[in-house]
Amino acid sequence: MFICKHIGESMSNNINENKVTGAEFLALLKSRDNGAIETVVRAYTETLYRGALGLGFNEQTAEELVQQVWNTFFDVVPNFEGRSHVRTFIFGILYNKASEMRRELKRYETTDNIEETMNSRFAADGKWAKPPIDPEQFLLASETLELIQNCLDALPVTQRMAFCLKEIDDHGSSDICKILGVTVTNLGVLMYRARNRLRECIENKARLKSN
Amino acid sequence: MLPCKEIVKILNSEEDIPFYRRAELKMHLLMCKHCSAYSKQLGFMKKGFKLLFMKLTKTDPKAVEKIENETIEKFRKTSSS
Repeated sequence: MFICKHIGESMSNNINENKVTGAEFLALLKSRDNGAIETVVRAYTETLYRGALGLGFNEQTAEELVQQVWNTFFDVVPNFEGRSHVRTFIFGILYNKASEMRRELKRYETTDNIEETMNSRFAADGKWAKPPIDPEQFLLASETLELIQNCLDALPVTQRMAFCLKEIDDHGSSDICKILGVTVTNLGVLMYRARNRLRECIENKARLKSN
Repeated sequence: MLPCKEIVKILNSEEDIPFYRRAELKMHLLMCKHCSAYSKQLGFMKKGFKLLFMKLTKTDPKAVEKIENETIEKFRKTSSS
């Protein structure tokens, strides 16, 4: 197996990135060479930790999660074929572990009640039946980070993970699809749902606030 | 003319908006206060999420280093035994 050096997205300029690509490095990593393992741990612990925190875990749980990810990584790395970037592979493990921790199935649903909610906001001719609230009112609510956090916590793990991966800047769409195990089309639907769920939630709270 | 429901889909699209749609979208947002409100909401939300994400993911380099060291040490122990 050879390693694809340029999968989909352009690589970040991070020096560590250059260290962890290449067939030689991959071979060392697969043989669980101490130096190679250490390089990978030093290169990705921080992003993993930030990812876990972004998913809404507290510091202690996030730390535990990162350790679980590494333990799994060490177990499975001899079978890693290098078809995706090592970073993508590691984040795939984080996604699995995070959903286990939340005791939630990670999956892409074919139906989602947010679709019905969205449909109900439009009339048959496609015009707004229940228009969005005043942007100023929405702004006041969305400036309250605690409120956004509550709304985010209500999102299914897959949707929240998609949001977080978008924010952790070195993940392009093709990486995100690999991590979540969805097609590009699915990712589009997933983002639509995640965004509108969050939006509906904030809007509802904004309405309550102004009443 | 596209109805509001389609405009909302375009506003949520992950792909680049085709050039022949861009002018129509702009026109629609200028004339339709509801879609314009929706579009603003998306923008505010994105900003809010960014701020929250930054706040949540502020990490202490020492804490990160500690996790790294522990992980590496644990690996060495298990791989040598």
